[in-house]
Amino acid sequence: MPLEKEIANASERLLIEQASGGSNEALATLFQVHSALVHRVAYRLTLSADDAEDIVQDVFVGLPEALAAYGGRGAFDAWLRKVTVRTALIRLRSTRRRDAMAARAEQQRTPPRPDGTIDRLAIIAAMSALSSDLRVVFVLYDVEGYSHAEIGRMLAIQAGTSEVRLYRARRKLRALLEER
Amino acid sequence: MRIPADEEARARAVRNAIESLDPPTLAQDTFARIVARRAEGARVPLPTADASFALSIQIARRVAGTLAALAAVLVLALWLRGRPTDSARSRTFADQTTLSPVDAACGAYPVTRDSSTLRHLMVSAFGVAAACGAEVRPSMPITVNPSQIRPGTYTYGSLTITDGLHTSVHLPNTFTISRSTWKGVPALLAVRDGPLITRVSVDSLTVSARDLTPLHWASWYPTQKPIGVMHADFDSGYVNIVLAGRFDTTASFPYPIEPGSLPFGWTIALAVPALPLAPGWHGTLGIALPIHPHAYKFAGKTWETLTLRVIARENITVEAGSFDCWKLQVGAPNDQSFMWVSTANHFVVRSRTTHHFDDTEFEDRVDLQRIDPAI
Repeated sequence: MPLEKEIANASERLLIEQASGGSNEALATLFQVHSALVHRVAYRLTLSADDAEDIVQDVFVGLPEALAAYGGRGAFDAWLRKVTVRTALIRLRSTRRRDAMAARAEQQRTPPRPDGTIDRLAIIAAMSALSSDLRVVFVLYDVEGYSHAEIGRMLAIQAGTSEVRLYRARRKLRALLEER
Repeated sequence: MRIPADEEARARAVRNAIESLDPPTLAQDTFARIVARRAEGARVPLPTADASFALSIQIARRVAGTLAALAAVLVLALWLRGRPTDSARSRTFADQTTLSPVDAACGAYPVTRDSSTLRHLMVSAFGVAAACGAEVRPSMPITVNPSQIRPGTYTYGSLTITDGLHTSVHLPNTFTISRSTWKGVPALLAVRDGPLITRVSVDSLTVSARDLTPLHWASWYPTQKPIGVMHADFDSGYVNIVLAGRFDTTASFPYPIEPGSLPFGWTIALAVPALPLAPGWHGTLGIALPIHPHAYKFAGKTWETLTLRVIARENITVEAGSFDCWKLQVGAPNDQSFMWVSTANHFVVRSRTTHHFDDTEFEDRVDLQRIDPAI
């Protein structure tokens, strides 16, 4: 392992230890380094700026106590990403915003572009129109790069179910984007 | 970005587009608010384990809800063991075992004379709403024919199959039914011994042999010293309960008496065998659920209505033998709950319900394992 990487890891371990002990300075550093990752993952899963910001807050408010469960096993950012995904999933389940998202997607429906291109707004609208079950699997597999086995464990579903949902999500996204 | 024709390329294009979707910038004061929340004592328990673990917790909570009555009895027993002197008790009695707002409301109900001790046992047997008088039970009298019920001992084994893969086998329930009299009136006596709720008690229900109206209920707690006995008389719309042994108290509460509307757990043994089943028959039973206030918020209701409809005639084989049965749909037509009842002898041969929690499927099955005397 390159020396710089080792130093960075040692420094991160120290920060984690200090944050776990209640140091706000250490928590601030972890926030500076990792909040963008947490924010981005939360936003991709919820497609809501408000929810994403709430998730960032919740993750970092709960982080010092949760660090005991990390225990230095594996890369910290991978662990934090998983915790963020689970936090976002709980929020998605509890708020049941599927209908609201579908309504929002309807509002955001834009006329198709004659040149066959897709833009940011079209993607958000199409993603929002997916049910949260499908969208979550699509984002976790296609965007975040988790395997079906990992997704199965996170969502308490079988790996095969994850594959089926991914297939459905892709098919529906294709249909939605071709409508445009 | 142009949409590519090829499926994988299309997915890649969408993925790239999504990866480029950066959220709006976080508010400048986000971290300051995090620190402020922590300073105010806010703590957010983060889900550091996978959902399968969380699901296990969820299942455990459901089981815990069912067993909450046992906990209440044990807590009460411990409390009574070290209860204060009479003068001290007069100051503290009312709130000693108040567990929730629902429970407190129950204690305030004027007809329930005992505000704490007996009420916890009453809810175990009859449901909190009945015990507190807080909820009007739906009225749904049905026609029943208790002469169809065959005396004998029926042993039911049950199991749960998760996702068609994992099978959990539960301890069997035994019902012994005999003909009897109660205060000079022809009656049926059913004694239940099984794992329901505690497995530290044997309880019995006496019903009218004429129309299945509940007459008397008794429960025996052999693990207590002195041995505890609780019995209840159903009388003109009220249940009067007497508890003896270590406990020593009485109470009464309203309980609308209707033929066939029996306390929880007696449906298979007494209510269903008395139904006049025939092609096309349908009817609705009311059942009191034994829900403790702790479990109330999870279950959401304390009365279950069981709508039954004969949908087919099938021959099925269980451990006790092969039987020609009426197949009953339990609940709405789309519900996945069925019961098979012997056409000749009217007892329940099998009951099967499929539940879905998120993506996990649970099949609960109850099968008749043995009949004594054999039929």
